[in-house]
Amino acid sequence: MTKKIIDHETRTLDGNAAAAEALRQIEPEVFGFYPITPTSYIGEKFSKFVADGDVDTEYVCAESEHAALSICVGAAAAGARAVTATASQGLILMAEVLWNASGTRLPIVLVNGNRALSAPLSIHCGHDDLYAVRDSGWGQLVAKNAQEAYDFLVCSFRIAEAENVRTPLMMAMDCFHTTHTAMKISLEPDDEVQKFVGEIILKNPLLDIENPTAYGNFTKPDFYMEHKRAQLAGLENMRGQAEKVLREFAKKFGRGSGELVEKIGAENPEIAFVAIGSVCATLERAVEKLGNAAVVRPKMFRPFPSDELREKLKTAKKIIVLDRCSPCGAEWAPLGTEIRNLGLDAEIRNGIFGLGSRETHANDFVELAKNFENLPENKPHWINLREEK
Amino acid sequence: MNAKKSNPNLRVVASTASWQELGISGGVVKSAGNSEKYHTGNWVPRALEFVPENCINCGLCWAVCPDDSILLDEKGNMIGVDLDHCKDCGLCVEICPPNKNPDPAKHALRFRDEEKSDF
Repeated sequence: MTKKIIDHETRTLDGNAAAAEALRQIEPEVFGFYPITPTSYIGEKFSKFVADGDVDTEYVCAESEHAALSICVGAAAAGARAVTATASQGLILMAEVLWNASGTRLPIVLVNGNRALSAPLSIHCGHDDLYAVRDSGWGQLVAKNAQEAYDFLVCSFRIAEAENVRTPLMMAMDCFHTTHTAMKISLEPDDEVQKFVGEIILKNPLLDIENPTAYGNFTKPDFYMEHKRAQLAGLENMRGQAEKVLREFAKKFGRGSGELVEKIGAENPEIAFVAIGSVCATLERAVEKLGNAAVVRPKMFRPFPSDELREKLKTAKKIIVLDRCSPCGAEWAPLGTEIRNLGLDAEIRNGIFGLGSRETHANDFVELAKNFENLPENKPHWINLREEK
Repeated sequence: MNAKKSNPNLRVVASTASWQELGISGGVVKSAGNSEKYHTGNWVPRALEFVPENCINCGLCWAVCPDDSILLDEKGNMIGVDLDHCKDCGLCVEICPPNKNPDPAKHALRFRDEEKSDF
């Protein structure tokens, strides 16, 4: 079958379609998939690429997300480049397999649509799913918009597969705010993307029958701890590898930068907002209204870019960290806790916003900044929550 | 009867590799038949002691041992206990005919008082 070659073009796509286009260009050997809102469309669109002969990928419809990721684990152990896409309940159903993939050092890439967890059932945005699996040993890239989702996905395989990393990576984008919001996307030429991504470097593939290998082995007390430490080294190396690949991407395609933390606004801000995901676009508008302010956005949640954040936040006098998740019994929510752990001189407050896509506008953040002195110190402030005073 | 000997070198290899040496292995194993390297004997605190001069070589201990931890030579003579895998059940101590002797000095199998140490 002849493949359609698509040259550089600008198209109006939502995050899901942009992700599917990136995967068409990369053409992984195996795509294990089970549909779930909001990322079903990635599988739908990709299955059309398979049916039309645009890709030679083995597209496997699984019976659950647990199976979908297990298919990827088997494929990656065999030596294939494997990908899956999921969200929310799907991601936490995969939880067991997430740990298997990272511990076995299989560089699988997963596209997640950050969605609030049940119950009560919500199909809208929340970072509960992402935070729930933050300690799974996977890398977590969080895209701001559909273009960045495309760009990150093109970079993901090289970040995960590097010899000193060999660690799976999830590329996350916000449910509906990014997965279903169309924007003008620059698609790079197929051949340029393929050249950029390159071939997978094989490590102990199961299909190398001349050199038999056993995967998923039992480990005794005399080895488990060393394995966990060695695994951490791979995850830590992902920071440097992500910087390297993002920088190379920026140089080649003229978008983004190698920085793991983006800072937009004043250099020495009176107030800095820290957040991940699509809300950062809203925060940029709030920063314009406030004047002496900045948005500081880690592009990765795991491994956490601590040094870069210290550098970008050292001149801020006040900091508001915004979390799209309940603190769930901790004093602060996850991102707030991480920022407080950096040991900065600034006054820091934690805000909870947008659970289940509760609307939050730029003006809400402007008000929040003006009201800084009244925000509680040792517990988060819930933004746009109906409550009795 | 199969001859079975514990390889003292296995233990040294198993517990000296640093995490850096493990690299990106992810726990893969490139050689088959390595379950013997799992020294399950260190799950238990007591060590069994074999007294060869009291042994009548009846083979009863070998027959009752649930963990295949009675070591025999090529001719089937008892030569010792595989402490890397012995689980301390005491069935061999119970069935051993010389152990019926009221004088403990004549017993062929007994538990040592001190605790064993592996890693």
